[in-house]
Amino acid sequence: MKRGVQIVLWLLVAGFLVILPQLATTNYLVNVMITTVMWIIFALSFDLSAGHVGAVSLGHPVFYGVGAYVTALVAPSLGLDFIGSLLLSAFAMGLLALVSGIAFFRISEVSFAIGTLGALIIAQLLANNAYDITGGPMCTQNVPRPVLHIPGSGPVTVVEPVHYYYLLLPLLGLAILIYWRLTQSRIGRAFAAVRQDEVRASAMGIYPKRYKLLAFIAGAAIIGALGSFQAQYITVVCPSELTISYTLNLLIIVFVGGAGSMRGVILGAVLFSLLPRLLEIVTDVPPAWQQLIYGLILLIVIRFLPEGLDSLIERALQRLRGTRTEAKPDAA
Amino acid sequence: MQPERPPVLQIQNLTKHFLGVTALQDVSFELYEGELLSLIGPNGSGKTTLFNCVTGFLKIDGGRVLFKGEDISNLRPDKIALKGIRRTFQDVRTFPEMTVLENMLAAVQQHQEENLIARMLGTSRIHHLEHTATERARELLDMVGLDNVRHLEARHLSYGQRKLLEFATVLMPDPDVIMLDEPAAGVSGEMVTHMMNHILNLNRQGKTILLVEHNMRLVMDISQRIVVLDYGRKIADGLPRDVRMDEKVREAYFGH
Repeated sequence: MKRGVQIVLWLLVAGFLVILPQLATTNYLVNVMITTVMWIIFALSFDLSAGHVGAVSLGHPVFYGVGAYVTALVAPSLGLDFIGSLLLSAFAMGLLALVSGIAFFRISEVSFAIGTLGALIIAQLLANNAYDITGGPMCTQNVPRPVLHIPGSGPVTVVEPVHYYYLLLPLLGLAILIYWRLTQSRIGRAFAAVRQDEVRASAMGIYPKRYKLLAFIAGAAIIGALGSFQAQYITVVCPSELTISYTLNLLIIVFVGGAGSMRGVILGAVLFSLLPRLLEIVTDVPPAWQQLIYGLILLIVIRFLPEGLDSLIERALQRLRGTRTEAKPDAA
Repeated sequence: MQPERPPVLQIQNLTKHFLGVTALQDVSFELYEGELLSLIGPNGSGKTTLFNCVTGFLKIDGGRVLFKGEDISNLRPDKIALKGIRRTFQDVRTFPEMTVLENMLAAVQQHQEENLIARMLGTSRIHHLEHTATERARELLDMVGLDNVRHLEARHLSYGQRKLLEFATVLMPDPDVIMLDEPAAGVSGEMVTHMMNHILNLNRQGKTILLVEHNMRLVMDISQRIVVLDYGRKIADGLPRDVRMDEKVREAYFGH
């Protein structure tokens, strides 16, 4: 795609996202939008290591939950504002990813997946049982809401979902930018090299662990910031933010959408967030049945589209460009 | 007999055991600048083990490896590669989901290893380097006859084409030492000649090459010197015609 066309497309998407809440008539709809954007960020941060360096961290929600706790428990005592809290959580989770990554990347890929899953379960146990610090199942309450200082008027506390939505959009932009720059640059080529053949990558002077850590840390920092946002949005942080069902959701989003593809991951996150809402509207499907439907979708996609829904789009685009590709002698 | 040139690679008393089995025992030899040296021996004689020890993929149990006088024993493989020793693998390795051209470019990107931020921002200097690398990649691909398939993913190439691609990628950073592990194994007769010609041409341009080969006949004509391994020990080291006549070598290969 030509660069100009790409920029126009991105601007259109950005404009659409900015106008979208104006079309929403109820707070419920705005909440659906916020949830959708959050799942996009969540899935992109997960896909950085799962889809690009082939390190599937089943414990990825640790960085989300602990990031939320950092904002709830540490940021207020430091007197940090909305952005300060976001940065603190992002930094803390990046650091946690560095330290844990050095240990986790010493083991094989399968052990890595299981090991990180263990870390998630331990984190939730700790959050549930460290009453004095986290409040246990009673949750950490009263996380301060963001306060904006608008020139000309006094400080404004953010309460309305629509305002939260606008605070969340820049985070989405940043997540997309980091994801895009990391995966489309020469670093992305090293990621792909490490994923496709670690031995050969080493023989070419690429140190696999460095790139695995880079993807792991970047993903953790992004999701740590999102956890911080969540804490300041809901104003309560509970051990349920460290649930294994987030991991399952991430696996569904990324592998149904298309691992390693930004377009696929975003598509997966949007479908995953909106489908249940549509099911609610169309038919009164009970939540238990929804899980069944997800399971079926996952099975069908993995059986018939192992590279995810994105491979369908890719094929369609290739067919559109078909005439041009055939004209090139190189493609033969 | 030994050339006047300085040794680039010195292998000194290299020893390697696997669970008590001796894979290499006190192997020593030198590779001189501009030389084409072949390492031959029957299957299981330790040729690939030696390759893996020199390039850091296996830990050395005894002895050491010097590169331009510097001890590189047991360094990490990526560090050894960046110092200027590049290798191919016997079981041909390419990045299957990358195009032929991307495979080539992946071989040099670590020149900018130190500057992660600049690479992420994609500064103009980086763009310039990328452009230069692409030009070099296409020259090399043209040389091995793969330029017309440069946009094809490597997994769609034939076995022989992948061998050629792997060969071309090790040339990308213009390394000081090129180590080729059975570059002609498993390819058709015509491709073997093709490959051997490439290697010979490369050496004529002044490149230092260490070649592992199972088939003695293939390397007789192109090698300047031959080292023979048998059961992990060096049994001969010399000019091709002397090695061919060597009693121990004949015994190792033909059993009489």
